[in-house]
Amino acid sequence: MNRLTLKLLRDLIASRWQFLAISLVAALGVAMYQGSMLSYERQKTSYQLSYDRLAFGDVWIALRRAPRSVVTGIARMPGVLAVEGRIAQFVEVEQKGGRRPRVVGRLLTLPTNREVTINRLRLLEGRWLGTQSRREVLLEASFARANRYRPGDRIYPKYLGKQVTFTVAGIVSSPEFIYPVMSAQFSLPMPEVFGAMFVPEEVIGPMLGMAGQINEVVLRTVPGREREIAAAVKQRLNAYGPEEPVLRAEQPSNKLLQSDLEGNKPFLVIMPMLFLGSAALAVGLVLARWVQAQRGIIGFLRASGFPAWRILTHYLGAGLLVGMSGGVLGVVLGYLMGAWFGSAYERVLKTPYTTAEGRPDIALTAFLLSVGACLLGAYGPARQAARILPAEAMRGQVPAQPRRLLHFRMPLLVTIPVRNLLRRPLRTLGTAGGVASAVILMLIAGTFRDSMEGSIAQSLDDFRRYDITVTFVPERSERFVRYISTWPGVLRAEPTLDIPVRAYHAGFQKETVVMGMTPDTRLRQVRGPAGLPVLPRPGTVLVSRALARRLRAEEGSLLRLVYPQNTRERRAVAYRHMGAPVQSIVGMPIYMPMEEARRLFASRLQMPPDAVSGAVLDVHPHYLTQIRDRLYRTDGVGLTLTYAELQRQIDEVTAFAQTFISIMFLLGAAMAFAVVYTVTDIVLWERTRELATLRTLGFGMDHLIRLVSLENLLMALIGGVIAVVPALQIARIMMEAASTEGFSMQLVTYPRSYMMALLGTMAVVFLAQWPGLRRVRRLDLAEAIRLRE
Amino acid sequence: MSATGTELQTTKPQLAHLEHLEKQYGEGEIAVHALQDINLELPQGEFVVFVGPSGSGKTTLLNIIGGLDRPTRGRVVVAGRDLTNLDEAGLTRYRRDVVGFIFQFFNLVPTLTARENVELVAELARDPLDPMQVLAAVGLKDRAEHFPATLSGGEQQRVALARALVKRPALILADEPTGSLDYETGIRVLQVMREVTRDMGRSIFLVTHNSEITRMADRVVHLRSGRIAEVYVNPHPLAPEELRW
Repeated sequence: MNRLTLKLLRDLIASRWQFLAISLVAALGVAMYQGSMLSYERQKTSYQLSYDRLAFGDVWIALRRAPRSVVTGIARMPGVLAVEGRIAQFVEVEQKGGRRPRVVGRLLTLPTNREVTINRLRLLEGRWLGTQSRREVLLEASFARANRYRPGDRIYPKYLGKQVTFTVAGIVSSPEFIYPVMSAQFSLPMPEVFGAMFVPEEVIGPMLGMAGQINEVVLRTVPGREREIAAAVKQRLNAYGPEEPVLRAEQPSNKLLQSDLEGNKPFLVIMPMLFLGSAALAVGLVLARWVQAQRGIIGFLRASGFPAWRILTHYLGAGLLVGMSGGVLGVVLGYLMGAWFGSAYERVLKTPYTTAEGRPDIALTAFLLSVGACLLGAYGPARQAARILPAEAMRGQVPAQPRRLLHFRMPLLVTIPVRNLLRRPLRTLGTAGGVASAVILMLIAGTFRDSMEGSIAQSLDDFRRYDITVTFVPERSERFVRYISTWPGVLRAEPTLDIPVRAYHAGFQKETVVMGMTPDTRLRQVRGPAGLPVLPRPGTVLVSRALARRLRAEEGSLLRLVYPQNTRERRAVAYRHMGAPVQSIVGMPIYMPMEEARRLFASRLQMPPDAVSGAVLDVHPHYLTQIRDRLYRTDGVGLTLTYAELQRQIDEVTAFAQTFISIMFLLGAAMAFAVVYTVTDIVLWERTRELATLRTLGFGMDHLIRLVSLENLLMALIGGVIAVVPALQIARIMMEAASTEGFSMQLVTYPRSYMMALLGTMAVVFLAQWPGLRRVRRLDLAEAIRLRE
Repeated sequence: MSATGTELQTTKPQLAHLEHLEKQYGEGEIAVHALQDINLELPQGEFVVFVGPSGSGKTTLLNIIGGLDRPTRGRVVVAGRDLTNLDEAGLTRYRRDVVGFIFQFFNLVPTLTARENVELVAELARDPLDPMQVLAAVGLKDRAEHFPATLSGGEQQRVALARALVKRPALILADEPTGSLDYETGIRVLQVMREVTRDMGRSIFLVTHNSEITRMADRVVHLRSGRIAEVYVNPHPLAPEELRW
């Protein structure tokens, strides 16, 4: 090893705590990148693997009904690779054995004499349906788990008002229900209240009066021609009342999965960049101090004939080594983090097949990111070192001129730190920038937590105005709601009318739901931009902010609203201008005056007069259980959801994000400590001679602690002020990107987060200066004051 | 320039030739003339002392001879190389091959031992001496594995001298090498430097404001206000141990 390299290694060892701290910051950035990237890729490839192995469909077309023989004709159409016909039906399902009494089931038929060719299932428990299977059912895994079903248990679907007993033959996972939602209008998975149930076609067909018939076809097509083939198949099925085809991209589960994946993307970039940026900054600060302290040596090396590039590479070498050590540690941590993220995610969503590849390419990229960031940080000081002229280095550096900006007398122990900060404003800004990077991370984590809590609280508070929400299957007349309002314990019952629609604007579209709003509503309020309750004006609709963004629409835009299951016989299309965007956390609803919703959609869709699709109830707390149970026993009531149940659903959906944010906060605090320790230690190194001189003049350690603390705390304050705007901007960008189809967050930063970031940083600053101060106390004063600055 | 005539004549081959040398910092009214019209002929193998008060231009002159700085006007030729025509890379090669430096504050690398500090420069040279032999020559054989922090000021300066010697330079440039040393340590360092010129045939140009050191020089250059006030050959150089300050 040459002596210059030896010098570098020993210099690094001498500053080991600083460089370990920086390596740790870089390692956290690398781990963040690799962990989230591995998890992202693992999800993506797991979905793809499941889709490939289980032949996930490309196109779904719902029909009124058609003879099974149509399938044979479709199979021969050009571009169709495979086709399946099936019966798909929403039904009420009764449950026993301490489970929720009534849930909604999506019955899907399976042939028992052959294996299905599209949307195959993976058997997780029990056995397949066989030719001998009579009243047997395969349950989708999320529903089975949420409702504690095992093979051999009984379940009771209702057909045409009649309850039938089925036995659970097996538990399966399905590519159509990885994200278990009822339809495109639902955005939260609710496996407690909804489940997919696969039943033998030969049994169900006759029971539903559909023997030999189907009401849905699913296709696999030549890639790239889905839309065109779907249109041709729909055309061919025209006689059987086909609805608009649903392509794979719009399939509810797949769409939410993709949206979820997209939501993860900002984490792949912004968080690692924050950490790596901080590491680069810290490397730059430490090396700048090195270069300053080693001016004489640099001068000697240059005077001895070392060329400038050797000096440049010498100091770049420090960045390289720190980057490499951070990279190696980060790759190991990132691997563990990725595995943990992946498995935590898979506990929430039942992906039929999962992969957990090592992905050396991601590890290598992560490693190179660390090296690159640290080299970038090292470049500035290294270049400065290489440019030092030997004669100048020999002359020593003229101390920067102190600035006297404050023209009133202050105690000297205040004047010294203030002038020190003003003496080299650029360096002060650089150091404050290091502190700011830590504050930014803590503020982002705090804002994320606040926004999530605030959004959930807002969502639940809105919900809290009613205690129970009820969905009717099928739609009923408003009289039914009036009847419920007479039940004992019901304080108020308001009708709801939710109609699925596809909203179009400027070439963008989104499947969502129109909600009819009664003018005297008290239980189902919508909040306007100012946070106050608003109602849609006649002839207009109110749209959630997330949907407006999605459709690139703004106040006054004309939206086209199309019922997605339009057929030739039942058809509804409406045009409405949009009011100012409103707040909505869950889903992306469109609010319309109730009377207009009935006129434009319900009557055209042949619903009953005064149609309602459900109700919201305000009930006396003592009657809650009694009313819920009565609703379960009432015919025509499909879904009943209480406040507590909704809260549990939201908690489940956000549990992973909450954990992720907690980890981020911890890592942020760790980074804050590492960065602040590094920068305060640098300041102390630079001031060793001055502090030693003050001690020889008779100042005690308590004076020095006050002096150093004041300077560092002022620095932290500057850092804190610098941090606020970028932190909120970054949080806003991340929040917008992280909002999924199902859950959009509002940006909220509570004062507690500012306080925590500020006090946390101050505490870290105070703790981080301690090792340096101990060093000052132990200084050989005679030696220290002789040191050349 | 003032010189004592024939005393300067020598039969030794020439090492450095300085011709109408000027160095100016700044321009216009704030211009500072650090060196003005310097003309010097310095032969090989001599111990030359540049002496003068603070601001007389000693260090500037040393830096220019060492290729650390460039003159504003004039010509400098050292060991046959015209420094005024060399680019930055040329000056770097010149410093690597021709000169060795010693500084008042030693400038040793604190994280390398005495031996490693010497080896650092030896690795750069084409035909270096054995670092241990050089350390032995400056009386530090037993302290070779010590870090600078555990060496006395005099020992550190001797390491610096060994570091300058190891690459066999034709010329050693020393800027106030005893400036931060006590009397006895200073004398010890000067003794080693004297031996280097006598026994190894190297030239040493030493800058100091301590006029006592001129009494051990082969040649003395007095500077005042950026000009040469006097140059003379010392017919009877004293041994370093005879100096008093």
